[in-house]
Amino acid sequence: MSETMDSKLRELTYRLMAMAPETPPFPEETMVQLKTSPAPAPPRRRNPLVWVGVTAVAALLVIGLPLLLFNTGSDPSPSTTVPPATQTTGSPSTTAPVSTASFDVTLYFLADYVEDSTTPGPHLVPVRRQVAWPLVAGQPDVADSLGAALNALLTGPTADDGRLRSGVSTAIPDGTELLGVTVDQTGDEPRVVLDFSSTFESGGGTFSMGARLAQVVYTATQFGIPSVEFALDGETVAVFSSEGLVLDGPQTRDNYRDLLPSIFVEQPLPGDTVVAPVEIIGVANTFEAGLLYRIELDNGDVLAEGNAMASCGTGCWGDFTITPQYTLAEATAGYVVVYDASARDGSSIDVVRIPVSLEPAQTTEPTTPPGTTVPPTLSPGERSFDIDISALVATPATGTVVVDTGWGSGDGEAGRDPKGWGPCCFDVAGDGTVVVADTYNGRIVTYPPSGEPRMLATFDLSDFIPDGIAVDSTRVYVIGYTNRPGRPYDIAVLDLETGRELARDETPLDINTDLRSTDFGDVFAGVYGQRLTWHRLTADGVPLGPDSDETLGYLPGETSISVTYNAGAEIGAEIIVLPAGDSPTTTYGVLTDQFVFGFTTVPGSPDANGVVVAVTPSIGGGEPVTLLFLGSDDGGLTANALSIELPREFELGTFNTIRYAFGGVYVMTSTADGIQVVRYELP
Amino acid sequence: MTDEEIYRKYADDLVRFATGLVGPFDAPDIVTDACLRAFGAVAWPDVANHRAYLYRTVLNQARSHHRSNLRRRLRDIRAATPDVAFLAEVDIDVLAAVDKLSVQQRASVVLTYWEDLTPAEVATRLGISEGSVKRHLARARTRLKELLQ
Repeated sequence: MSETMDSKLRELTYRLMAMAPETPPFPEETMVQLKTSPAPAPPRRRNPLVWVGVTAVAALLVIGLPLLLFNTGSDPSPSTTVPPATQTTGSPSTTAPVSTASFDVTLYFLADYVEDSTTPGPHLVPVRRQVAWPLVAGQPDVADSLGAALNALLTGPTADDGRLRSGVSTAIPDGTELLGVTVDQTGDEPRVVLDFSSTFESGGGTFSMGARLAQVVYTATQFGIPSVEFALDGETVAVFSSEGLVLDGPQTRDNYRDLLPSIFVEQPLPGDTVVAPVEIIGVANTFEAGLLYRIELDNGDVLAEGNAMASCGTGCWGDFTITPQYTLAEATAGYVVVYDASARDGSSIDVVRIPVSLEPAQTTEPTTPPGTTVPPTLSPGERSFDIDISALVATPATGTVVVDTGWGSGDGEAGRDPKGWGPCCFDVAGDGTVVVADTYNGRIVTYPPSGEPRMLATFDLSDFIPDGIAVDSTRVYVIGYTNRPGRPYDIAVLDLETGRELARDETPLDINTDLRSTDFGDVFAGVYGQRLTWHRLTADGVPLGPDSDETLGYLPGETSISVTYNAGAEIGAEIIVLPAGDSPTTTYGVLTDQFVFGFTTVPGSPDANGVVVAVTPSIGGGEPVTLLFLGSDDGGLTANALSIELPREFELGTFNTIRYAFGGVYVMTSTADGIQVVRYELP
Repeated sequence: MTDEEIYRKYADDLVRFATGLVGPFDAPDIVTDACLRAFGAVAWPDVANHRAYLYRTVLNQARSHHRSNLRRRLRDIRAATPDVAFLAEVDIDVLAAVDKLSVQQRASVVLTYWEDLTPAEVATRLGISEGSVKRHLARARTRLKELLQ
């Protein structure tokens, strides 16, 4: 090998090393920030000797607690009756509830239920409980749902819970009352404020204090609002209890992951009746994300077993969904077992056994001829309302190619970067012209319905990489990524006809989603934080004040549904309904095992709007692509599917994008030869 | 030595190594995750060569690291660290060049040209054979030939 090559590689390496960021601090994960430190935080190390010590400390804490702090499941609870939910809300509705309905909720208690656990217990354990709360206008109210679930949690474990999970207990002191539930969705970060009686912080040591907060946070966050703020007797809590736990801002599930076992299964739960094939859902933090599972009959026979992967592992938490395939002749008792194998000796570790009733698959004949779209109606509620894509019969569709380019930098070609990423995005103008942000050529190109493509504008890639676009009747808005620290985005406004630059300025917005124009001629910039918010821009691309009512969780008149990607793994999406006004957000479902590569909104009547989500089960290519039409109306969420064949090259994870315009859906994909934009008609 | 002392001793080098594997944006996260994983591993108390073990954990972590496009990567970074002053120093050409290499090839390049290790030493550090190291280096040179000459 030539010396020149060596020296160039060395230079390359040195230039790379010059970019090295600062070393992060020692990663000592603690469950909560401790102002004072009365007990050592549990060490991360899984040395069995250390563990004995930790377990002993935990045991001392448990034994040392007054009995009233630990209502064990084996003791019959004084009452399992849930107080009327309306008593629990801070501002009870004056409207008389139309009806009351029972819902399954998940309550989180504590138990040492993981066999050969690699982390010290007790851990959080989910149990199923049916609670009732009123429906207002046919819909459950989030505050009511939360109140009912939390009152059930405060009541403590029942004898039934104890039968399914021996030693189940609660760290919440007996006599704790829920004084109020406030759902605050006005800010960028929706949260619930829970007001408890001061009994909530009485008794117990550090573990018990952290554990009771965790129980409440996990129980309260199942309704789609991820953050919880605590108050005691009406006073917001910054430092919790005599243990001095500092609650640094709203609490989320992430703050309490130390209380989870390495494998935390949230579905099925003990006592569930599961119809084949069972879907096992949870989060895990195992070595290299590996998991093993087994479906066991009561007599010990193994019905199915295999391995699976979480979306992340080796030090980070990942989601998993496992659908073991098996056939069952008749209903029987059994276990769903999820575990890991020790990297040292292969023995089973972190074994979670869930006692369930197994039922054979329902053999209903498909009543719909192939090719017909079935629009199922999904009800609001818990996570189990997942949209089952495989249950949708997709209508095959053929689109019309409206843009077809080669790769390159010449006329009519689109640029790609060394990784294979093509143009970021496009929008459709009023006359059907497709306007493409040709990111890596640094230019904006228009493709009219008939006629030749035209280069509208060019940018210097060293300070403006086109990374988002929206077109209204006269203007083109382009987001440019700059290398500038702090505020890395510029917004340029171009004249749609001439390409002349009308305005360009840095924006304070962190526009990491895209720009969208609405039917009313407004342009919004999407910022993805805790949730997607849209900020209205002036005609010059300047955002109106972040505190103004122009900052929205949805686009006015266009949609009441937002889709968020499951960050990180890029598999799956949550469909979040964001109604206008003060109504609560509802998380409808989670698309699991689907790669979401684009979504767009579809305008409709005020009470029936929708989104189109493009999904495929694999980024590996060859798999079908489904356009999923999700609509929202008073009856809940409806779903229709259109199966399309896209020419695509997913080798390097090419970014794709879709837009709705004029009754059709435009989809841009990258192929081996270039980009294509194809229009599909809505069914 | 406590875990913290071990971390202090090797963290700077690990961050540079991770920068070579995944770029400057994700390097701190990779190192943090890898160290948490290593310190929590059942085998950790018995590990004799902490440095080699940590390098391998960082390499494994980087290999399972999902590729993501510019915007999503930036989105994640900004969510985690509001202050992104270091972005000013990003050398796009270098990142584009390194992007042509596999993670294994990057690991061999960084250890060879930054830490000045011989192929045998790189092999020990990464727990692979010397032949593999030479192969990774040769392929890295081939892949970058067009770009660098």
